Amino acid sequence: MENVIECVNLTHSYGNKLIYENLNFSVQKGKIFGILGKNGTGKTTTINILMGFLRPTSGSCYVLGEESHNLSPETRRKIGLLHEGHVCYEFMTVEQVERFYSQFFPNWKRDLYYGLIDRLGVACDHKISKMSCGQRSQVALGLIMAQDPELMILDDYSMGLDAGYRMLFIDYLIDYVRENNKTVFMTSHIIQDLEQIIDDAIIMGRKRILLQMPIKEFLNTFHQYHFNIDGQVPNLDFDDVVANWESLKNHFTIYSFKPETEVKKYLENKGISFGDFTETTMNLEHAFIGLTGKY
Amino acid sequence: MYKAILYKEWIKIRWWVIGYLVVMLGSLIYIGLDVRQWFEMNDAIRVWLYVIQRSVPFFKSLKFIPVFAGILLAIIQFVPEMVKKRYRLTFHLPIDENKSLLFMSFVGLGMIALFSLLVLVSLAVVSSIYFPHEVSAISLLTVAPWLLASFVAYLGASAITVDPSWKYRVVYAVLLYPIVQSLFLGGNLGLYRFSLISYIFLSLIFILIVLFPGYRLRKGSRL
Amino acid sequence: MIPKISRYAIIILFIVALSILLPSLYWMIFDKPIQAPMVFYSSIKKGFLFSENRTGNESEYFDNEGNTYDRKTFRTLLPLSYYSDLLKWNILPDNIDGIPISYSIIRNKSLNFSFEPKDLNTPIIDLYPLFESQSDFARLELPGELFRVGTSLEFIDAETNKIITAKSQEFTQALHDAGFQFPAKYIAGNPTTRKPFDEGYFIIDAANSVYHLKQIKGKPFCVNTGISSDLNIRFIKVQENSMKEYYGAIVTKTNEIYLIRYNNYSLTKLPVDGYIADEMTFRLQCNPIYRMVKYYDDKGLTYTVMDSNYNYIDTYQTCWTPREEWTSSKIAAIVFPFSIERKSGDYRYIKFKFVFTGKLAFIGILLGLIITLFLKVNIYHEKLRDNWFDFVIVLFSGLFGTLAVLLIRPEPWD
Repeated sequence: MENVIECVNLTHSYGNKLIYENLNFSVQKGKIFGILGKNGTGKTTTINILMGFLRPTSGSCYVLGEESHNLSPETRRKIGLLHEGHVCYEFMTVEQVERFYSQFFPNWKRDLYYGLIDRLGVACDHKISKMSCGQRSQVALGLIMAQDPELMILDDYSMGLDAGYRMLFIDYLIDYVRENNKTVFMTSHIIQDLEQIIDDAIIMGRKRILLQMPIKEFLNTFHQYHFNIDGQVPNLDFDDVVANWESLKNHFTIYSFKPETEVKKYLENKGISFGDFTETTMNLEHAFIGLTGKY
Repeated sequence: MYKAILYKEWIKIRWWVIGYLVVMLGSLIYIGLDVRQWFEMNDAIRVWLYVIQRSVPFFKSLKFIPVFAGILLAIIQFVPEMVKKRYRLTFHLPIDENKSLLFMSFVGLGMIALFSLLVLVSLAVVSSIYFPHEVSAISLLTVAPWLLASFVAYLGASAITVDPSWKYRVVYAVLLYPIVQSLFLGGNLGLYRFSLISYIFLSLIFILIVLFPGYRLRKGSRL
Repeated sequence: MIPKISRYAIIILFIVALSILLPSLYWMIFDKPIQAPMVFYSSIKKGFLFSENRTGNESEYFDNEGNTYDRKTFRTLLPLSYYSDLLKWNILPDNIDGIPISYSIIRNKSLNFSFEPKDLNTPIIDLYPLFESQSDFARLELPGELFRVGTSLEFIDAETNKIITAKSQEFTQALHDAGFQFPAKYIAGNPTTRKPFDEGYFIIDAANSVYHLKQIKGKPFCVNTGISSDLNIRFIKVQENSMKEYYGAIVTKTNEIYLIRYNNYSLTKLPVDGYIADEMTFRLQCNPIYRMVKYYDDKGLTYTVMDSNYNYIDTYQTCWTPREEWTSSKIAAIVFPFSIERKSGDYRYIKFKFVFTGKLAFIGILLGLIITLFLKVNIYHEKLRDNWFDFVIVLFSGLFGTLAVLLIRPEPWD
């Protein structure tokens, strides 16, 4: 299967501030790939690099076989891009913006656009600048769906959308991908929606990549264990056993990729006496917070 | 695809077109009435000698209107493209980025050219009613640098609006000011008779200048 | 690569802007006025006298034999110039060398006639009023029409803006009859009512002959002046004067000046060696005894005295440090390899002229290349081969180019 996106040893800093280094990943055709992470960890930066709006400090990216900093117009026709902030031509009306974009894409699906827009209940000559943030996002998403691109890149698709529309969009997205073997690359921080759709993910932390694996594998191998502590609360380091931990009074929680037995042995080796050892299953959102921390 | 860009530009600039048309027609009518009044209140021969010997243009009120209209057009065309990083939309369209930016400039230049033509034709008409053809010819020669200034100011202001960095905006402003000012030296008739062609060639160079800031913008240049 | 070309377009325009802006700012700070003496010829001393504002406060008065004078003595030696003062002091002589003089004689027989390079280089609209030369009334009156002369002579009525066919045909015919060959090449006259009388216009025809045209009692008067057609005339200035000393002056393309006299348009050649029409101001002064010709520019002046028959008497010449020799000019020549001249005192048209500042510019260019090389390698760490044309730019524009290529930095091109 060919790689629709490929990044090799990607490193970027803004001045002296390192965002990440040596990021390597690829996105295969027909997959939905997500970059998750807290604010400021480099999600939008990666999209900007992929679309050629930013030169990485070092490393290279390839999109549909071309170098990302020099994408040809033909390649760009195949990429639907939802920019950070759901940017669109706000000085146009709903009707004008569709008329504008449709002339660039021979496979323009007008019905798909109006199918999504009509649900807004706004008139065709309603200016986009006069719409609410959520309505604007819906217009932007409608335009991307109508474009019917090979690769869809969505930077924080959920911004401003209400729960109902988010669900609707995810339905459209899944349909879009599965029907025609299209590829999606998205960032988000509303995790619970992504659980159903993302195939592979990268979770970014400050200055480093925390995780890079298919979602199913993450949810299967990442555990949340609870236990009580007698005595003093230990200060555990993060290592290959302990991905993250929290404590409240004498109630302790450990997040780990290791199975229960290994974690118990680890605690015994550290001389920590514990009781009421249990495991809780996590959904993607909990797992994400578990990995990245609440703060 | 260029039709689409023309469509987009028209949506942005149509109010400028209407506004400038109103202002321009108003000025031309004012000039016509003013000239008529000169002839009503004075002997015709005195008006002629005043214009011919004192070398005074009868259309001085037009002098700075085109250049400000050019600057305004650049702002109206390009600020909406820059706000909220919307230039990413334009540069992501499946069309060569340089060609699309240049085409946008040509839309603006085309508008300015149409208005310049309007001015030239109107002045020629008013002048030929009241004055001999020598005065008409030298009047058109006199208004030409003011019209040229609107092309130059438009292109310069476009570059200033498009470039992401303040340092470069200052550079373009420093570049623009002396050249535009050179087109307004002296208020008498016919002063640019021998140098207009040089200034026209200089102005042609301006056509390209919006592409470098455009490049810097879409590459996220930090230089 | 188009953005690369766009960068060079910006650099070129920036250099043009700098070469307009920087020299003018520089001279705003460093310019000084030219110190030139005023020259006089004393009818008493029979020699040249000078006044000059050397110290900046008061004028000094001296001659070229080393003597200095106080203001009153100086003026006493110049009765033909300061006759009002001498009259007030009651010491105005009643004759000089037997020639009677008095306040009114001096006034009535004094005349000034001058023109400067601007007058030869000024936009002109070739439409002129033809006055009635022998009116019954004292003052000249404006006609109701103007005329032009090209392939024929046409009068255009100002009220209607239409050609007056009959009069136009009449005058065109008169020119024909006098031998005039259309199209006309040049016309000169004094188109103002503020003169004692009117002598019409001098028109040069296609065969380079000079014709004299007037309107007498409404009818055309036109004669061939007989002035040589080999003269290569560039400029004629007409100035009617009640002394009827001359119609005016001719300036040729070879920088000769002739007065057109009243006896059959004979020419009196003026002694103007070294006169350059495009650079120098010319002034002819007449008084009851002498004729003085003065021409000068910002480098020097020449003052020649003749008697009332234009016979040569004496000449005074001086020059001063030309601007180019000032230290500030030399520094400017290094820093600014060229400047763009748009306006000058000698030329009323607006220019766009590259003025190369001379050999010293090469020092500036070398300096510019060195600075550019140093900064590009050590501070900006650029790969010189990618943008080698920057050095070509600096080679042709010196420090202007250095500033431009270092401010408008090259990008990593695709």
